Amino acid sequence: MSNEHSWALSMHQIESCSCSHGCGCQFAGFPTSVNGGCDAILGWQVIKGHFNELDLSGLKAVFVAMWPKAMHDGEGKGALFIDRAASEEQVTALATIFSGQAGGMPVEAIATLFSEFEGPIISDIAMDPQDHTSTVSIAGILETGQAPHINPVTGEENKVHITFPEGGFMWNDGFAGKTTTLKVEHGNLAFNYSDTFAAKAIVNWPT
Amino acid sequence: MSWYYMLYGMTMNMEPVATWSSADIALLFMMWAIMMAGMMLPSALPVILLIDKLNQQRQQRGASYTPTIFFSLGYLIAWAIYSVFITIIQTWLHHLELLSPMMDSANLQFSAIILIIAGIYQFTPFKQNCLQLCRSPLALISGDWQEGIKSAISLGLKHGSYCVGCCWFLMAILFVTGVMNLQWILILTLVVLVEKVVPKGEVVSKYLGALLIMLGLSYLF
Repeated sequence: MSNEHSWALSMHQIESCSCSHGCGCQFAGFPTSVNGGCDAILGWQVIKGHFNELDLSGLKAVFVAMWPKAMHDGEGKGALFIDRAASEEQVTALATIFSGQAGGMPVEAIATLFSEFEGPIISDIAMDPQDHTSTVSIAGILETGQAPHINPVTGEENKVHITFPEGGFMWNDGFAGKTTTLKVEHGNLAFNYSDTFAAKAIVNWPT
Repeated sequence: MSWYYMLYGMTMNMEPVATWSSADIALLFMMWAIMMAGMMLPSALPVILLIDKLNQQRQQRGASYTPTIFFSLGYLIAWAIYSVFITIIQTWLHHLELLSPMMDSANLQFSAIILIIAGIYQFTPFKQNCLQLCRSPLALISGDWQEGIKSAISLGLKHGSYCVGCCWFLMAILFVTGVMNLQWILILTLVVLVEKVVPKGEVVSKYLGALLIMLGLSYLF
């Protein structure tokens, strides 16, 4: 890809969505969820990143989205939460990047898929990125937790990976598991699931 | 526009193929290219609109952008390349007298074979892979998006090539029904659309395959 971009982010991405295991959106473009839509929470913790000269390392953000159909059919509702630890400048930088305003994939493509979007909402984000047992929460608003798949025969953990050797939509290699909780209660963004698709990956954007 | 042509403008030389000039063959190619554009663009429309939305965003924030028409052009180039091949094949089929001068199948076994192969093709991993790629435009956009006319055309070409890989044999069904049979042109257009944009499109594609195989067999017995 080109290096014309003013930003770069290497982040932990904690991804929980309403799809059944092996989220269809990753492979076939269409959700494998109960209602045919896509409801998701993405938790991001920046490992290393910048916007122009501004360092963004260590910052946390959460992205909530509800699409009535497949993501690429658009018409989604979404919100962006940014952790209180970010300075005003850093909030602006993250909001600019995640809303696609600074260009770069995949954010620029994702930004086209919303009809309503709220944010950035400054809040206290608790986040623990682990291979299979990540958690993300904002008190009173949202919560998601992940667990590994369990082999039904032996009862041992199934260490599942999803790998895209040629580059995936958002990441190239992720741990896949299931959600223990996945719920949001924020205005008209509201859903509640468990035992759905969960992934944890390191994303390096722009792709 | 393509549809306007198909409804009102399609006239072809119906003389025996031996008397065809290169101009007739060029016309035949034009016809295929326009037909393919008309049949495939409806299913490509969602992707084209997505790209257009992206470009509108870029425009709003004053970034450079490449008009969406170039992506569409790339998409159509993929089908134009296919049209060259199918034109050559059609000419050859006329020579073998498997096609009548009316451009439909002159031979029952030939019809049956086309339908059965088209049906089997629906089940091949290659077809299903192409279908999956053509059904999920976001991965392509996210992975291959670059600025510039050349990149826009090649992105369209890539997306189009998935669709060609998906549907190239379906289009051969027109040899059975008559290349200018509007009813079937419409049916195939809808089939392609359903396969691409309906949530369970891959399931539909297999039902269709089974149907085609049965139809083909019915020609034989």
